[in-house]
Amino acid sequence: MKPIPAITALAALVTASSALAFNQDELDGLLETNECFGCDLTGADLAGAQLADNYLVYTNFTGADLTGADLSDGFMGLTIMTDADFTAANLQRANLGGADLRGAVFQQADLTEATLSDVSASNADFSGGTLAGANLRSANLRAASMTGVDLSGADLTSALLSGAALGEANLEGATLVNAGLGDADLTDANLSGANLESADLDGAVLVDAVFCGTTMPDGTVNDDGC
Amino acid sequence: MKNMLVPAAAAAGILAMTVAATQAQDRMQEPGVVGSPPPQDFSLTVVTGENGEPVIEGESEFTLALGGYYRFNFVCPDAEEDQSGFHFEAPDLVANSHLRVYSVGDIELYIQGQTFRAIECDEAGSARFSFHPMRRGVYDLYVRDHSDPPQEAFGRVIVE
Repeated sequence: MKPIPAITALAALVTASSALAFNQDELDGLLETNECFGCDLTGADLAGAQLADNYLVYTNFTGADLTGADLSDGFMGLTIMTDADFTAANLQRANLGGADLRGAVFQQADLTEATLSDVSASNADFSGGTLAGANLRSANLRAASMTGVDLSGADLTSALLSGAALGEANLEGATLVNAGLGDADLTDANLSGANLESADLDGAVLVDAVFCGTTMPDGTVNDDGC
Repeated sequence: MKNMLVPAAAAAGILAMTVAATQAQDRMQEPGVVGSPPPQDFSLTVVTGENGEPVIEGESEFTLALGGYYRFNFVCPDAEEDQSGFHFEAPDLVANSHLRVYSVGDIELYIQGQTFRAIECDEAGSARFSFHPMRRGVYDLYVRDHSDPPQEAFGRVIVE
C-alpha cells in the first residue's frame, strides 16, 4: 500500500467536508427558535441575523459569516468560532466564556460588557471594536489585532496579550493585573487609571502611551501624562 | 522568559500521525501503554530571593499543545526547611489536564482519576508530574512562601 496518496485523499476529503459541513436543519431550527445546543453551523451564512438573547452553547461557527448580526445578550459559552466573521456585529453583554475565537474577525463589533473570560482568541481581529467593561480574564489574546479598541473599564486580569497590536487602544480604568503584555504594541494607548500591577511589559512598545494615575507593574503610580 | 514547546510537539504529532497511518496495520498495540512517545519536559525553577521571597529563575512562561504529553518539573535548588520552603499551585491547569504520573526522586505514583492541590519544597530537590493538557487556555502558576501575607512569584502556561 502506498501511504501518501491515501493520506492526501483523506486530507482532501476532510477539507472538503469541513467547508460544506453546516447542517441546514439545525440552521433553520436556530432561526426559528433562537436556540441551538452543540449545533454544527460551520460556514453558515448568518449575516445580519437577529439572534439576540440566543442560547448557542457548544455550537460550531467555524468560518461562519455573522457580519452585522445581533447576538446581544446571547449565551454562547464554549462555542467554536475560529475564523468566523463578526464584523460590525452586536455582541453587547453576550457570554462567550471559554469560546475558541482563534482567527475570528470582530472589526467594529460591539462587545460592550461581554464576557470573554478564558477564550482562546490568538490572532483574532478586534480592531476598531468596543470591549468597554468586558470580562477578559485569563483570555488568550496573543498577537490579536486590537488597534483603536475601546477597552475602558475592561477586566484583563491574567490575560495574555503578548505581541498584540494595541495601538491607540483606550485602556482607561482597565484592570491588567498579572497580564502578559510582552512585545505588545501600546503606541498612543490610553492607560489612564489602568492597573498594571505584576503585569509583564517586557519588550512592550509604549511610545506616546498615556500614563495618568496608572498603577505600574511594581505597584507605583505613574502620573507622567496627567 | 518564554519557552515555545509547540513547534517540536506539533512536529512530533505530525510525525506520529504519519507513522501511525503508514504502520497501523503492522503494529500491535502494546498493553498498558496509553501514549507511546515520552513526555516533553519543562521546568519551573524557584530560588530564594534576598528577602526570602520566591524568585523564578529562567523560563516562567510555557506554551503547550492541546493534548500533547508533557512533564512539569518544579525545581527548588536552595530550599532549606519547612519555614522557608515554597508552595506551588496551578489549580486551573491541573483541573483542565489529564494527569498521569507524579514523581519525587525515583518514587513514582501512577494516577487513576486523581488530582492534587499543591507541591511544597521544604528542602532542595524537585518534584514532577506528567500530564496531557485537555483544554485551551491561559493558566497561572503560583509560587508562594510561608509569610503572611505571602510573597509570590507567577508563571504561566498557555495551552493552544
